[in-house]
Amino acid sequence: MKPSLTLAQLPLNQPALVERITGPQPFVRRLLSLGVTPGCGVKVVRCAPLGDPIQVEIGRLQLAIRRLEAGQVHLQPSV
Amino acid sequence: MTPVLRVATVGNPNVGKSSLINAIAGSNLSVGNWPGTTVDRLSISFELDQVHVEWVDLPGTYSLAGATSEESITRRELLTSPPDVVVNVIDAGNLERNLGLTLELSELGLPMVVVLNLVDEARAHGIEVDASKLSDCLGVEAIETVASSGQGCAEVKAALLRASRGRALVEYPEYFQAAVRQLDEPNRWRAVTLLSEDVPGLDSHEQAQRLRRQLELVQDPFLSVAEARLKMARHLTCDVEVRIDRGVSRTEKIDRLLLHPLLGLPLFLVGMLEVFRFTYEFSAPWIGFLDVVKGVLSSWVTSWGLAPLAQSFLISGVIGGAGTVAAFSPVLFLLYLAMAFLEASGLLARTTFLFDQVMKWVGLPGRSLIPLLLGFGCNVPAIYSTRILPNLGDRLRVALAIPFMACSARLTVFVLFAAIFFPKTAPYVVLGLYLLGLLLGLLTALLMRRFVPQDSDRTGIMEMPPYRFPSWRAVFRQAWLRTYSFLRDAAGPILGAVLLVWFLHQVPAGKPENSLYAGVSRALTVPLAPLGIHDWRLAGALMPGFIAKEVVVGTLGVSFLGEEPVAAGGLGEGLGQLATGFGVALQETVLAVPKLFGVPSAELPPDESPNGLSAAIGRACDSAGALAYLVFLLLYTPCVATVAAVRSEFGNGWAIFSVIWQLSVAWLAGWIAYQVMA
Repeated sequence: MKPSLTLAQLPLNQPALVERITGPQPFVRRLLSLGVTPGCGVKVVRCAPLGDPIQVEIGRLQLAIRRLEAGQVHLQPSV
Repeated sequence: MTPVLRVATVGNPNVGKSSLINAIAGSNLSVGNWPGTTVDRLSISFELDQVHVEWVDLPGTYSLAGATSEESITRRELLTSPPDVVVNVIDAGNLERNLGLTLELSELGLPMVVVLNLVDEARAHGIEVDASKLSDCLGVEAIETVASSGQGCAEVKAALLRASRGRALVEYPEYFQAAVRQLDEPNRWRAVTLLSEDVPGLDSHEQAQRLRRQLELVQDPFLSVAEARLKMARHLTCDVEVRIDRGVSRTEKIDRLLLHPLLGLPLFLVGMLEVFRFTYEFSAPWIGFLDVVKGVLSSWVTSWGLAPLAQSFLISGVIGGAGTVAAFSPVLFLLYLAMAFLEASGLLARTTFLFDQVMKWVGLPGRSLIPLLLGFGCNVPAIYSTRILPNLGDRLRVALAIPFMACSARLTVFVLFAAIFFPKTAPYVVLGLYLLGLLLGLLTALLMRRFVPQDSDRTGIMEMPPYRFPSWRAVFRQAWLRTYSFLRDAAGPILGAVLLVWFLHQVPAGKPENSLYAGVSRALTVPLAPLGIHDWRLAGALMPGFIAKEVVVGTLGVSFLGEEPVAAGGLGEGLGQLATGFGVALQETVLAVPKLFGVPSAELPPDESPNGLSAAIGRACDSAGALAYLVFLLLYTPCVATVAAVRSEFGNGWAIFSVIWQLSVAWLAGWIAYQVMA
C-alpha cells in the first residue's frame, strides 16, 4: 500500500480529500473551527515566494499554513 | 427610569463587526480596552423606542471554546454577564464556516439576531443566501446587510427589541446525547462543552468529568462534537444557499500579482516605502504650521512684558512642552491611518504570508514585520500596532525590538552630524545606522525568546481574507481615536519632562554654564568619556532627547549658541501669521500628492539647523566621538512617549527593563564604534 500523502506534499492545484489531522489539540481545534474536517476537499493554491508557508483553499476559504503543520494534515490516497 | 438593553456583537474575524457598529453608531462610538487585556473594545449607546441600548463589540472568534485571548474574552463576557441580545454577524459569502459559531450561540440560549453581512460581496461571487429560509431554520431573525454602506442597519436596530432565542439544532451522536441528558446542567452549550473538552474559565465538576471519561472510552467526544456541528452547518448551508460559478475571483486576481513568486517581495517594499512617503510628505507641512503657532504664541507672551523668569517659563516650558506633544500628532495620525487601512483591506494578512519565512529565524510570525517597519516612522504607533500579533510573548519581543528602529525624529540628528563629520560618506553613515538599529532590534527579539513566556497556542495557521475596500469613515475614526488616546496618555509625561529640563536650566539663576542642567550634563560626560564624548553640551542634549528625539538639535542650538530672542508681536500681526501659515500648510499638503508618485530620491533631506551650529559642534568632538555619539543616540533609550506605550501595553517592569537594556546596548555599541574609529 502506498503511504498516504500529506498536505505539505500535495502538488499545486491538485484537489484532494482530508483523511485525518494529527498534532496538538490547539492545532486540531483551530483547523476544525475553520471547517477543515476529515472528508473535506483541499487544494494548494500557491506557496509563498520564499517557499513557506503555503496557501490552501478549502471551499471558499483561503488559509496560510506552514509546511511543518501542513505535514500533519493527512490526505486520502487518490484512486 | 428608562429600561436598558445590553447588546453584544459576536462573529468570526473579518466579517464586518466593527463596520456594523460604526454604521449604527453615528458619532457616539468609543474605544476602550477589555479589562486585563489590551484588545480594543468598541462600544456605543443610543436610545431606541424609549429603551437605552448599550452595545459592545466582542472580539472576533471562530468558537466560544478555545484558549486564545479573543475566545476567552468573548466567552467570559457571554457567560458571566450575558447580554440581553446577541447580534451574530455572519459573512454571507462564507456561510458554512460562520454557521459553526451561530450553532454554538443557539445552544447558549440567549436571544439573538443574525446579521447576514457582506451580501454585496457574496453576490459578486455568485452566492445568494435565502435570509428568510435561514431565519426559519434557526428560529431567529436573519437580516441582510452591507454594513460598510449602512444598508440594512435600520432593520437590525429594529430587530433588537423583538429578538428571540434560537433552536439548538445540532444532532450529536446518540452516545453523546445520552450523556448530555444525564448531566445535571440546564444550559446546553455548557453541558456539551463540559463533556467534550477542557475550557479555561469554565468550571468542570465531578459528575461531568466522570461522564466524560466514560465517553472517551467510546470515542473522542471533542471530535464528535466538532463533526456534528460542522455537519449541521453544511446541511443548513445547502438548504439556504444558491451558488453560481463566477470563475476567478477579484481577490485571486490581486493575489496573483501581489503574492507573485518574483514580484511579490519587491512590490511589498515599494508599498511600504509609499507608506513612509505618505506619512512624511503629508505631516511635514503641519509640523511646520505647529511651529508657526508656537512662534506666534511666544511673541504674544513676550508682548505682555512679564518678568524674564515668568516669560521663559511660559515660552520654553509651557508652550515648548505643548508644542513637543502636538508635533507628534500629524505623524501619528497618518501612520495610524495607513495602519487601519492595511488591517481592514486584507493586505496585512498577505504580509504575513510573504515574510513568514524571513521572520522565522528570529522565531516570530511574519506579520511582526509590520510593527518593526512602522518603528522607522515613529516608535509609538509601532508599539501599539503589536496588537496585530495574536500572542503575548511575540508581542512583547517585538515591542522590545521596536525602539532600536531609527524613527524619523532621530534622522534630524543623523543628518546634522553626518554632514559635519563625514561630509563625503554621509548617506552611507546614515544608512549604516539604520541597519545597525534593525540588526540589534532583531537580535534583541531573538535573545528574548529565552526570557519571555511563550503561549502554548502558537499555530501558524492564518485566514487570508478577501480584499475589501475599507469604509473611510471607520478608518479615519480609528486613526483619530488612537491619536487622541496618545495625546491623552503621553501629554502628561512629556510636559512634565520638558518642565523639569526647563527648571534645571534656570537654577541657579545666572550663566547657563553654571546651571544645574550644565552640572548634570558634566556628570553625564563621565560615563560617556570612554565613547569619546567629553563636551557637556553634547552629553546634556541626551536628556531632552529622552523626552522626544525631535528636540535634540534644538537643544544643541541653545546650548552652543544661546537662546534666540523672541520678538514681541501684536494680536493682529500674530493672527495674520497664523492665517498665512495655515494657508501654506494646506498648499504644501496638496502639492505633496504628486510627490508620492515621483521617483524617490536617495539624497538626505536638507539640514535646517541654525547657522553656526555646525561649526560649533565640529569643534566639540572628533569624528570618532561623533560616530560613537550617533550610535549611542540611535540606541540609548526609547523616548518618553514610547516608554509610556510599552508601560501601558506590558506594565512597569518591561518598560523599565526596556530602558535599561537599551542604555546598556547603546553604551557598548558606542564604545565599540569609538574604539574601532579611534
